[in-house]
Amino acid sequence: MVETELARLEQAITQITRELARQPSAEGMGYYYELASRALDPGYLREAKAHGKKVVGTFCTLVPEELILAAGAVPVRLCSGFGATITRTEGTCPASLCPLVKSSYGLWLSTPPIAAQCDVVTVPTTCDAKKKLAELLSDRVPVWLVQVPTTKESAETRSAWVRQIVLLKQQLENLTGRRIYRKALRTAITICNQKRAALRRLYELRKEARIWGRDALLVAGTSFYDDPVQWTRQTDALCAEIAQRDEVRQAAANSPRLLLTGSPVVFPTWKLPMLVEESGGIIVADDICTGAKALWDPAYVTESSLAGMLEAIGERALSITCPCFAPSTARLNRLVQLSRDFRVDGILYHVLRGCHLYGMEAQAAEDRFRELDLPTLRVETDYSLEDTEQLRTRVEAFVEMVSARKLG
Amino acid sequence: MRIQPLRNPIQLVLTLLLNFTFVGGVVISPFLPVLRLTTVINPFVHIIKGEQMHLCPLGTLGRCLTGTWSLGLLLPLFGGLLLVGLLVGRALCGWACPFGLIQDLFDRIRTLWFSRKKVREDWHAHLSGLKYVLLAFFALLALAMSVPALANRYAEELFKAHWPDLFQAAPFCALCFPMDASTLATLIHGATPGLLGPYTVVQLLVLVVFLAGAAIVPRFWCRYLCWVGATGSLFNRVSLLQLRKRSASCTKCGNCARACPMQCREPMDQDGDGRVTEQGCVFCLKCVESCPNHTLSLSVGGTSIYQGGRTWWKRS
Amino acid sequence: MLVCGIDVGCMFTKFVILRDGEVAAQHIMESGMDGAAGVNEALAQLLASIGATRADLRAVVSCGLGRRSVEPLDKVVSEVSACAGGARVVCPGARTVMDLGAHGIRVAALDERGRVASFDISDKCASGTGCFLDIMSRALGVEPLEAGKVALCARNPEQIESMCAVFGESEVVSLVARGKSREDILAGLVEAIARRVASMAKRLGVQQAVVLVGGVARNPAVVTALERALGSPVHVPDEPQTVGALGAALIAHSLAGSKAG
Repeated sequence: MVETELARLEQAITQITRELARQPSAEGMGYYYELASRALDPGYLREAKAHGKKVVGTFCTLVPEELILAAGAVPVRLCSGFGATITRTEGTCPASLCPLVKSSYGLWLSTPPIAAQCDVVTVPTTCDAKKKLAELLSDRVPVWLVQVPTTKESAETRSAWVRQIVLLKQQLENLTGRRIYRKALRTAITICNQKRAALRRLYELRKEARIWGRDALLVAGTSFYDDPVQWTRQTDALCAEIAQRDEVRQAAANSPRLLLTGSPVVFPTWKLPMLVEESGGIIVADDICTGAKALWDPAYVTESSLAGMLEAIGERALSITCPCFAPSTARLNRLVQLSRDFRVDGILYHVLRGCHLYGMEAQAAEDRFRELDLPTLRVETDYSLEDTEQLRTRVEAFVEMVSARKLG
Repeated sequence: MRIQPLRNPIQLVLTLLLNFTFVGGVVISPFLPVLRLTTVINPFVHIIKGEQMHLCPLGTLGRCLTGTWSLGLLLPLFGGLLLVGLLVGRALCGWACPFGLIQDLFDRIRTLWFSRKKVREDWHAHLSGLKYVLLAFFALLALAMSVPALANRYAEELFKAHWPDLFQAAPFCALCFPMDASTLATLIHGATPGLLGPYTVVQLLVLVVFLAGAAIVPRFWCRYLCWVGATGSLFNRVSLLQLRKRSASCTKCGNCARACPMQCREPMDQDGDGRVTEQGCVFCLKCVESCPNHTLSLSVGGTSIYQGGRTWWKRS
Repeated sequence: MLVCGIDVGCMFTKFVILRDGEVAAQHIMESGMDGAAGVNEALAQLLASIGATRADLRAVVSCGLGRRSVEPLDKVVSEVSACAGGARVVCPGARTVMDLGAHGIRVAALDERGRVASFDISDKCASGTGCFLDIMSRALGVEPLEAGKVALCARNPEQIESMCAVFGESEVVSLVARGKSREDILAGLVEAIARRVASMAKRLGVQQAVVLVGGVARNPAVVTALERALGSPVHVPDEPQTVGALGAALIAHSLAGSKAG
């Protein structure tokens, strides 16, 4: 039964990667389609296991990868976008729960290789659903809860967070049997910063609409289950390629430029970016945690001592504009800055049904955008494909509306 | 564009200019809110040129009041302090003071062995006020000691015997213990043993505190003790040179608070727009450099002249 | 220059043919299961009635649920844009457009130039739609087209909360069993729909002129109830059901114009 389930999931992946591959933004995208098609069994994880390395599963974006790499382990993000795995969670999870959490738990129950290879799973206490997911998973795999502060402003919570980072460091050292020294941490920080720099260079090219949003999101999303050095190299090559190509830019010359924000769009449920770009829009920027959010700011090291570096990577995690932090000022500021820098014409605010954090910030975000004379389309959906046609109606109407305003 | 590689050489150049008066030609440092490196330099200067030693504007004040220098010099003294303060606030501390340079160098050496100690916020707030207390104390002392009756009554025995020249010229400097060069000059050049004054131990103690503090807490002297810097601090909120914040792009990443050697919180904490120059800010611009969102800027009268420009991702 | 706009709804397919920008012919038929073939046949007949053929059409634009089933096709547009455009022509100065169709409710707020500034769509289920009203009418033994007149005769409209097209039927039956009159029940249903639509419109901001289009606009009771709920007059064009197709045809007209130009 597990085999047929995995086969179904593979089918879902193949379907979407084939669709994407029909009109790729560049030849370099082939690497990412290939990577995405092996999302359930990433090559670099197999390699790591073959070399005897430990695999640390993560959720969200707030667990510092640098620590995991410095300890000689390999990080892999387990946030799942499979609609099919949700049915397995009936009874355990309430129907109105976040689809991402249900899907991730359901995926775990199907034990694909990506899950089976994890030696430990770290779950940050970002939202209620994640906290309870941690409990559910702890019956099946060792789970470390990473206590994320609820506010960034207070000096006390910041220092508590740094202490949590130190604790995580110790846990990782115990796991791999390898102490984290300055050199290893410095190298890990450099690797991760280079990855982030590569993403920023890609997004800089998105300002000129040189790559479709559906492809750019895939590039960002696959960074979570690929070797960082390899991914950086490929992304730089992709940037070099699309800097020379003009097809997408010409095709999207009059398309409304849109900013995607809200609950994460997780592979393989790619319906929203596909719908938007089929309807004539182009997503030029995003602030979602499977996209830019995790890779936007670098770790800024002010002190090259071990404690200084730990503080730097801890505080970098706090620079992430997640709505799990209150107040929401930082995130709203980031959204406004992105809309300006990327010269967007409209906003797509995606809320997964049951997601209170993004849902509750939607009105405040919409009000801020209205001040900038930017219309917002709120899309509330889940991982099923039932509502595709209703979404299409809304997205088409929105794209037409924004187009009419843009072209005067 | 990174500004630290520019700032450190400028500190060195200005240190040399302001201390080697026979190179610079124009003596202006007695009128600036900057400490001179007399401990090291003036012993040689004294021996070579017989020049009087003094560290700071308070020394100038003392000399004017005792008549060693003309009273008319009070005008450029207070005028200079006022002008510098209103123009650049405490920026000289970050760009021209030799003691700032020494502390910055110590800081770098420190990072090789252990991480900086963050002073508890409440202690930091209270200790920061200490320098103003010292400023008031020394200013009053300078005024008091310029009255011959008081000087003769309270200080003569103690000091006249030890530093007759200095006492004549600036009784206040004789009392002002930090790094009075005469003691060290004596120690270096092995001059008359009798010249070792009653404050030698205190002077050495202060020197130790200065160096130890610099080795543990960045800019320890500047933060809590430097009364000369305190005069600049008074102008930090009103000077033409300001740190400004455009809160609309702040994501509270905390880089600025972490980078600041003076432990200033305002660039990070403020939620509005406008000035974020704290009293302790020495304009080293590490915060502006560290900001990934171009939120902070150095501005002159409202116009931003430096915004960091951290295109960190452009280097491939 | 002949152009055509087709609004393929879930219950009815509406055609509007424009000659040089003026309405030359229009037609409403029940949406069948024949897909493109059925549409093309009806279109051919309509064109024949004004002495033209398919070849004479310079542009065809479609909107509605089944918009992509039309072929050949020059462009698809959303019903929101189409109804807004059509409403603006039949009622110049329209700022709030409410489209009550068989399967969905669409409300749009237009700016002073007639462009859509914001919109809201309720189409996740049939609650409060024309389909819902039809099912309820039939359950009460009233012909859907008469439902409006019957509702206007109500003396004491029922307070009805649930607008589920499936479970509403059993609620209606129980009301009848309790001795409530058909008029009161229908009036209550109409009130419920009006409240729903009004709240959608108010969220976008209601501005004069307010226009009601779509099949349900033919129901006079709905119009009156909406006017009460909104506190403002509601204009209903003579042919409210074809406004969407008209809007699509107008887009076809400008498309053909730019092709020629």
